[in-house]
Amino acid sequence: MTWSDTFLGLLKDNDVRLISYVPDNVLTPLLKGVTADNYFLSVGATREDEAIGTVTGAYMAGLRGAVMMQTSGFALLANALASLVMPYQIPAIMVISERGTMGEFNIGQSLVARTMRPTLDTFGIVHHTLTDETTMPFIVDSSIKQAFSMQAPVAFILPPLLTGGNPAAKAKLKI
Amino acid sequence: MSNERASAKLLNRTALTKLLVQKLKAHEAVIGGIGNSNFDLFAAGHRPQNFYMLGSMGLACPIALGVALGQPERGVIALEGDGSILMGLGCLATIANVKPRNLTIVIWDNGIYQITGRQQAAGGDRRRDRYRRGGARRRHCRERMGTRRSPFRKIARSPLR
Repeated sequence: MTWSDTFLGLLKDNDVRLISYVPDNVLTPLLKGVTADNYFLSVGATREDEAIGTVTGAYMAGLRGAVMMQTSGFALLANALASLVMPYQIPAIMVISERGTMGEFNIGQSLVARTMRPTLDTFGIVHHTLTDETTMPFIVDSSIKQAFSMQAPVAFILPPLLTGGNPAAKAKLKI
Repeated sequence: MSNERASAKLLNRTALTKLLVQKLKAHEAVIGGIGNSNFDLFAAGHRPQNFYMLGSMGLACPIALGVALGQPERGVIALEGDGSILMGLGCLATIANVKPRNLTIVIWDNGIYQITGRQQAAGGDRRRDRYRRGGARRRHCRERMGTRRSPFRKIARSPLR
């Protein structure tokens, strides 16, 4: 099993069917897995806050969902988190592929990445950085259950350590 | 009929919202966008199936899409202003891709950011708004809505999916 298959299996185990996402290179195996599996309802969003809105509406209607995005996309979310997810106590599952670290070539990515954990900490949003496939099942399964039980969002950060990082970044760094 | 904003028939948002709420059968979910879309929805008579979205301007339609996906058998209506929808026009493309049969979107196009002090919105016509604020025009608008041939009646009679 690849890390992405394991992750999708954990979403299924917890009835998380709706996946709203903005595409990202590192997320590709996850997104391919989602579209290939009829269990999932996938909605390609044009912006990450839009994806948060859709997952929020779905939760209110009884359908569990997750938002998949990259680091820079998370940086668009401050207002949607502050005015929608937090006050209305929405257990939004956020899956963030981490750019800007461990071999980044793009200065913008390295800067915006520094805002991610401080933003999550400011809101008091539980976040876990998934570094290996051995601990991932326990962390993800228990944290999703906790999110729905507490009616609180949770963020799973997927670093290059787990995913292998962005292939484009690797190619650029060869020089 | 011309598509020009200046020659468009004027309708009253508050009256239309009341009519829309009267037309609801029972359990339709109504997602109100920020500002006057919400105020009118509440003023039309609160229902527990209403969601009054605060703060996250532009997200009423994405939220409504989520509700529509979660409950495909239920009618879902999003009420959004032109200023709000301009915050994220991309959501309309997303919704067009998904094609939810149970989602209706109403955009109240008054051409202004009414709640923040009536500043002109992109594509809006401030002169037309000044004209509309005149009492005579308002009365005319109400009278028009009462007539059989009024476009308002036509919209109000059309079925909500």
